[in-house]
Amino acid sequence: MSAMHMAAAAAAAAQHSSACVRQSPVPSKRDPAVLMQPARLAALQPSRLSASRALMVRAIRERWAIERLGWNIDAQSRGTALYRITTPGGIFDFPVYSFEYKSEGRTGRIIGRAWDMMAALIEGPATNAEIEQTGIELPKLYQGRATPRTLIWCRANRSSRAFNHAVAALAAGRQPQLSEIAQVGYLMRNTGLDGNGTFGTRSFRALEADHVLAPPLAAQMLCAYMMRVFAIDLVHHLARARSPDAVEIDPRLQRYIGVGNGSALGLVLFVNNHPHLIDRWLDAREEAIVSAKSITGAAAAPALRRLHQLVGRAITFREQDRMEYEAFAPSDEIAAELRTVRDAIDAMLADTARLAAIEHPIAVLCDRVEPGLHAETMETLLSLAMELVPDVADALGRTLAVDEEFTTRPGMTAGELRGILHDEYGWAMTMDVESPAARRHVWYKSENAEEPRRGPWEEVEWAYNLGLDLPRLVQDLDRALAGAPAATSVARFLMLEPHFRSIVARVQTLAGHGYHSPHMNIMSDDFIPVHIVRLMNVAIHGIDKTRDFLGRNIRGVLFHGAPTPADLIAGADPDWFYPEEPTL
Amino acid sequence: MTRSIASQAQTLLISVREARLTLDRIFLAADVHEGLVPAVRDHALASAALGLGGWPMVRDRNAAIGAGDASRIGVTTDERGACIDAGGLHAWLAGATILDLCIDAAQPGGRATVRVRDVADRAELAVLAALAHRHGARVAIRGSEDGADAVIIDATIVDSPRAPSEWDPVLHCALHDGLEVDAGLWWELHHLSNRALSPDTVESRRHAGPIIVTADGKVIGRPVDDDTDFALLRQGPERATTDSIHSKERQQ
Repeated sequence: MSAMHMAAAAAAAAQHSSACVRQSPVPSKRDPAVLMQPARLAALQPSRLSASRALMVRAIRERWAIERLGWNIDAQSRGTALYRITTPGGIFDFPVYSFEYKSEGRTGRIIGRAWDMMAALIEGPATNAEIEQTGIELPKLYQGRATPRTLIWCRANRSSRAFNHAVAALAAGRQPQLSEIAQVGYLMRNTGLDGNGTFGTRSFRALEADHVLAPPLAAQMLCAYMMRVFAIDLVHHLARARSPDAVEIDPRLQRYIGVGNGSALGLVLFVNNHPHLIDRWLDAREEAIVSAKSITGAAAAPALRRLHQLVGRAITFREQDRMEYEAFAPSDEIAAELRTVRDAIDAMLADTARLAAIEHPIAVLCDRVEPGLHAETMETLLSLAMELVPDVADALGRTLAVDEEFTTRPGMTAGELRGILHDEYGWAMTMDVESPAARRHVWYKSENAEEPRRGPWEEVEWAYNLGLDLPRLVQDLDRALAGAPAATSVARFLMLEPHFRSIVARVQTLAGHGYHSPHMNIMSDDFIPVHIVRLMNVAIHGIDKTRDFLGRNIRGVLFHGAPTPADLIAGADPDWFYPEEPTL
Repeated sequence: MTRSIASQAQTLLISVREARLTLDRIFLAADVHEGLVPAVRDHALASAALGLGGWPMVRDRNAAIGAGDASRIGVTTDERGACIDAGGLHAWLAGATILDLCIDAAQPGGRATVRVRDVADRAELAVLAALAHRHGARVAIRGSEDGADAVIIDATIVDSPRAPSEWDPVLHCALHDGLEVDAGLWWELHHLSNRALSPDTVESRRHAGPIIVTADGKVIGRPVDDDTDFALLRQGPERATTDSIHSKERQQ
């Protein structure tokens, strides 16, 4: 947003401020027509409902203990380690298999064949037999089988730049340079997390309702956190191997260092395949935002002061962001806009009489500032607002595990089904699905590591399309239903048109829900995959500083600023997110 | 889960998720229409869980199932009531339509009896008893008194399922206990499923990743902080990883 625009927005806000005293919008969830646009979904920011942050909320509150029980790794990084995570709800073991660095076969993509570490998350205490068996099976990956109590298999690679710099600096008795670390943000990057039944791991749907890691993605996030723990331990170990005078990374810098994450096209397929989860998650987020916007009465001023503080953290975080983005908004722009938000909060707090007359001040603030803001700035504000209702957000976080099955409703009539299509899929009805550009691409998985890929049909030797061609399916189904008597049952319709069974089951099962399917044609030239990758990475996983590449890949940082194991056991600061660069 | 590590050598316990993934791919590669794959897969899964034709039938009959035309099913009504003619289709391909029709017939009065004829591997219709729970219905399947070619399905509407264990008890058990399969057969099915994966070509590698390496070695895209072995992106693929059928025509 330009300075001129910001000035205009501030003026409008001031005018609005005087005009609408006592008038407050009634907070409500957003229209799916707005929220489900891919570009808007890409703008959603990490929040208390994001899987990594939700995990940390619990780990901090319950003071999880993370111990290193074993370390048998040599000066070339070869060997094993064993960690134990003790929670009030159970023990988990994390055996690590560490390998010597080699450059051959190395890439951030899933097709890579070289990893610096592999590990497993096992419901513990793990037996020696389990750990030994895991060490045999894990390197086989697709041909391997996990032991029965295994939740996750994972693997990670170091960022040579940051990792080697850190080892060299520590061995020389000094701290790594912040500039070197901050350019990357991590020492090791997650290159694969497999669980929920994959390779014989335990199905998440079979976890007990009160299982510590029952919330969606919690087990994966714990593994990512443990990668971070191991990376720091390994750097310390290698530095000590070089020099007896080596020092350890300052705890402030340890907190600042996150764990890297690369994501790509597979997450678009994930969103296609998990509409119940996406709907539930987005609905919960909207509900938490509505709850924050509904704060009223005497609670309003303290809430605004808290929001002011949180916005300040976000401003500093954005000002210090050294990453470069291709299509996403530069952080200095977001920082500038957040400063205008903070000014608006200041203005509201300064006029106590007027503030007292506003029924829903947070809602008023949001409505006031939104017209001039970039979507990312607005979504930052909304995510921070959720911190005003932590108990509500945490309770909503416990509702995210949903049944994800589809089934038909055979007795529904064709007319009723068509009514659902017209009520809930209007966006798909008008979408171009016929032009060559609208149907140019195919989604497929390669035989090489089953890597999800997307390319023009003419460039693919052959493929089974794995992408959900939702607008086309909806339009085709609507045409077929139009040709059937309205009173025909779905059972009879599907007897005559059996190929619509899958889309009919999807439409019927998801009827009445608004946030399950982004409004997109993923086969089209116009579709930008990274929008959906970012929805998953940023909003749902909670990843910061997500750099975009070629409109389809993302690199970012998980647990950026999160407490260390020592912090957790001692009692950590819950406001760890959006960390400020440490001064060493 | 009670399985031991030692027992895994002969018999594997497969999760529902990986069973579904494998079955989806097998039926997709067998040319089952993508709109029918989830239904066929769920019938096969229930069959395996119930100890019916199951995994060996997947291996032996997937091509025949894929060759079936699901629109051949029809309904006639005579003095004995409604009769579904499955047109010789396999029970896993026709099952979902048969179940829907039975439930549709039962909904007005709470129950219905339907004859079903000309189903291949008709003993597999027993899976409908498990799948009917999803619709809040119960079905009982019995032989027809007037000929060996038909079966009788008695459908009754009951309360809608609430808990996951009620929605599909067989699936619920499979989710918790896994599905047993002979290890050799599983890996056979795994390789069969790989036919749904596409050939790994240098060109197709440009369809993913943060950078593109062109044929002449030019790198498109910003540098990534990955250490990248560019040979991975430029060399010809290793064809030994799967037994994909490279000659298969593109599915469009």
